[in-house]
Amino acid sequence: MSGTKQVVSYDEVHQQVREYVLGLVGVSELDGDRELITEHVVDSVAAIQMVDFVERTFGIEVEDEDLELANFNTVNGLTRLVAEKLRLS
Amino acid sequence: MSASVVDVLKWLRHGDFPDRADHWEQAGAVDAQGVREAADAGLLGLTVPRRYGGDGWSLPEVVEVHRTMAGFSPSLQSLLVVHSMVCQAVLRWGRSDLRELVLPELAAGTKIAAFALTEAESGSDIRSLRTTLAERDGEILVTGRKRWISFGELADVFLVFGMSDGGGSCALVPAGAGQRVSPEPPTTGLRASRLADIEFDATPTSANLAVGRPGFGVPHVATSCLTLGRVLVAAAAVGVAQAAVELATAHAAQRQVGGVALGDRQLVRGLLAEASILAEAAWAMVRAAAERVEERDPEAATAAGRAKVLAARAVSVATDHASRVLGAAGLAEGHRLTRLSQAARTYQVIEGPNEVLLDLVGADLLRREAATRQGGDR
Repeated sequence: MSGTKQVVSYDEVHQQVREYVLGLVGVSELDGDRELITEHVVDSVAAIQMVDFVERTFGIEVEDEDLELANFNTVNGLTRLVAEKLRLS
Repeated sequence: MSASVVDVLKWLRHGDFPDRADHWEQAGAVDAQGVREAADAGLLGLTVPRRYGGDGWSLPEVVEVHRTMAGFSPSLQSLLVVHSMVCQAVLRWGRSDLRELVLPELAAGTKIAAFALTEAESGSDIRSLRTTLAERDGEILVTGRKRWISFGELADVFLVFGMSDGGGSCALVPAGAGQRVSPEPPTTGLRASRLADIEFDATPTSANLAVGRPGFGVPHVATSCLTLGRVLVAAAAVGVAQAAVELATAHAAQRQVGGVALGDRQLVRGLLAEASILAEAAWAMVRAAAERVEERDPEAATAAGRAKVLAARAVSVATDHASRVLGAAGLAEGHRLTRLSQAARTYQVIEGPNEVLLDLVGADLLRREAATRQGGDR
């Protein structure tokens, strides 16, 4: 996919996810465990944008078994999901 | 089943489709045979991949069909919208066994699907749904009332959104026992789209028919469906706008007033030009938004919102201008322009009123501004 980048480490994934979510929320700092969806930090459009972003940026496909709220509700959760899919440690 | 874009467009523009579509709009109902014909032409499976029996068209191809169809039958086009939204929900968010189970039937049109999100107390605010989906022993019990559900009167299955213990959820509910379906009072636009008021009273459905996990129905499933719906409704609005421009241009070319053709008057040309420019601009934007949705671009939802707002403006201006060019003739009940104007009003509201979408686009601008400002701090 056009947006796919080669990612080599867990930290890089975390950095990219964090940057993207900071942009979505419009803040400069955000706790990695802050509940984005359940605490309505992001709106419904942004909730979808996060899924589209990780799929495109990291070339992964989010499957039904990945659809646990914990995977999408926080920056740390998203990072773990991507890292798991890319088999990073 | 599998049809080419050219074949379908030919079928819509020629043959007896325009006459039949006219009949549905006049009679106030797309009949079951009309739906059957649309299914036989492959129209209900346009967006469904071939492996599930669909046509597997890309969204930029699909919007061509929606634009053309809406010029003749805005009501039948609205059936394609809701059916496509349910197909999209299952395709993107459903488990693989659910996709195998329901997509072939939806693609073939042997089952018609309706999108049951709207409630009287919860329109565009999808987080305040009152309907509940309670799961127990492999079943989901659905309780609540859904309003203004397009093709609710004809649908075989509803995608119902509501709250569960795990958050906003949705599930397919077959039409039948445990629900009361009554027709909504007639609406001015899209009057043939068989709107229904549906009450679910602890209606059971299999837990296997849940689409997405609890907590994903709202926001994820609902929002991605609405994004698709907005692009398709925007395409329809462009089709209606273009049809109005064609009617007005044909009239201006022929009608003589005081020995001068209407089309020789500059103010009349100005009306035609303005309507046409807006319609073409909206169409370019609809196609661009369709590309973004197709590519799952994170900006797709905003692009769809922008396109729908512009298309709604275009159709409003185009039908209004056409009505002035045609004069009294175009105001007669049953005149094609009257129906196009009524559809135009509906497009200002459905799949998100202009104000809601403007708010979405404006919020996106402010978020970007904040991100740029904060960027320096990181």
